Amino acid sequence: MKYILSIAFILTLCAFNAGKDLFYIPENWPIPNYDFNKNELTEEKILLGRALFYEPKLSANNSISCESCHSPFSAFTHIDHSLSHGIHDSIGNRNSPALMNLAWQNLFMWDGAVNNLDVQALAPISHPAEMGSTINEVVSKLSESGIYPALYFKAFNDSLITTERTLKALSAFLVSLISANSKYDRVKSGDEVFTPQEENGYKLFLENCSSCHSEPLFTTNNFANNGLSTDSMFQDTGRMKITQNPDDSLKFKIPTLRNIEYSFPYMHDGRFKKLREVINHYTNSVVPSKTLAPELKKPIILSSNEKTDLISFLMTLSDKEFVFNPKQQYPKELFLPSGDRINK
Amino acid sequence: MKIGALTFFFSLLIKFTFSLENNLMIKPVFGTDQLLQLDTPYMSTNKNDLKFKTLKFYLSDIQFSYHDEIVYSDPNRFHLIDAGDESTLLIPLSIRKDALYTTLSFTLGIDSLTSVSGVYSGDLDPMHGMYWTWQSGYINFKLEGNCSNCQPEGKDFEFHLGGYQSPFNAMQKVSLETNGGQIHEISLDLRSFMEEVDLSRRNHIMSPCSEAVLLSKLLAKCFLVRY
Repeated sequence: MKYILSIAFILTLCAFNAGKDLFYIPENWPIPNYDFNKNELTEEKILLGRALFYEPKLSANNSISCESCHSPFSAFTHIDHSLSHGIHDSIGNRNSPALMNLAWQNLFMWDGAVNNLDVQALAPISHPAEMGSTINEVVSKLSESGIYPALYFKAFNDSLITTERTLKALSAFLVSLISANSKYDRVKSGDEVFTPQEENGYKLFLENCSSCHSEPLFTTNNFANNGLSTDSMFQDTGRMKITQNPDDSLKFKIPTLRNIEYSFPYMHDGRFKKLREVINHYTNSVVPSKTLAPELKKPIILSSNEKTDLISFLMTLSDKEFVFNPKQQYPKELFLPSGDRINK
Repeated sequence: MKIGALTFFFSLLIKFTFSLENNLMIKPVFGTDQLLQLDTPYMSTNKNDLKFKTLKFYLSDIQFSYHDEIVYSDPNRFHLIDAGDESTLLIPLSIRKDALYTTLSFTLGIDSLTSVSGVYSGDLDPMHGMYWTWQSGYINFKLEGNCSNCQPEGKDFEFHLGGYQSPFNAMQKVSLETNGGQIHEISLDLRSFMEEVDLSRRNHIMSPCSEAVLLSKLLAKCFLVRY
């Protein structure tokens, strides 16, 4: 029933093209996992979520916002930082993931520790090396702030600031981050064509990468051990930390390849800065182990030219409109005129 | 006038006999009938000097049944019981006072469907400190305190019992036979629980694990009905 209602809601959105500004399902994409019935999208709620996303009051000393580690220009990741750093310059132990097409994800974080987008923000808010705060502190700070009661009133018809409303507004903004307008998408819709090099890269992608990075989301949303050597400092066992199942040892979430050009560095610990290093890992450095992805048990063989072709295909997954979309950026129109900002 | 008086009399009688209000008291105790007090010394059967700092737990899906037939299901599904806040110990139920039942059942903790369905307000609001933030899921039962004569001295203990995923699903179904009497109170005897806990072996549980499941099973046996 819930499923039918979700579809009905989404179809309604699709039917009224005006809704496309809020949420839409790109052609040939699957039905999203996010339950829109529990959090109906409105422009006001998305705007509130966007304000919260850029709000440093979410951290204990008002210094770090979500954007600090998820900046729009890098497809909402922490560009050029292998490990994300948070409050008081603390360093975390994982690379912040890029944020896009989150309505289609079912588990969040590199190890799938979080089971629903609506509770995801609790993790960074409370993590001592990220925002170092608590949701209680956040709610109380926002309640005393000049702009938020009015924004909550517009979004929820009531100015009371609560945990549920705060997290649902953040989710509303996050599910609105849809990236589906790359060259690849335009080729699929028949509006553009690949160059011969990209075409060959696409062929190599289909042969070697697509079983885990499946179209159109370029991920299966599963967890896999891709044969990285274990970092001796962190001894990060990934998914096993959550399930405590040895079969999940060294498995991490398969990330999307969309916008990969912008979202470096790569891997759960950001160990590779360049795409070529990533491809070299798959061709030369896969470490065998019990839980290694079966797809990687047979070595991937690519010539130097083929690697270049594959990279040129991966570049077609860049969605410039997405990373430069002003509607997703810092809402200065909200923050700047009121004078109620960062250092209150 | 006579009719009016009669109507008034009968309405009072009906109200008295079939009143829908019937509060259920959830009473944490330590070996006696007395309500357990936080930050007060208690001695366990194992001669441990204990003080409890925090006791909170979720009691969900209260149901009264007459043999196999459900007589009443509490429409308010989740109750956060907090020994530090007496107002949470009384659960208002709208079961008829003359209702017949043989079993009172409830669950200790939060079911897996609710655990994966996002954020809620009220008793399930993560601001109550009963939600793990680093990993999704509710803490079904939280008991914190210290033991002044345990080794090393003044040892703190923290039991955060929860987990909704197999094989570490800690939620427990509790079924209490009522012997036909009207129940107004359920007690949770922490003395029985602490008897089974070896603080010298393990005094911190902060994530889903097999021991959390084991201790949750023990807890489920520490509930008693009182008439």
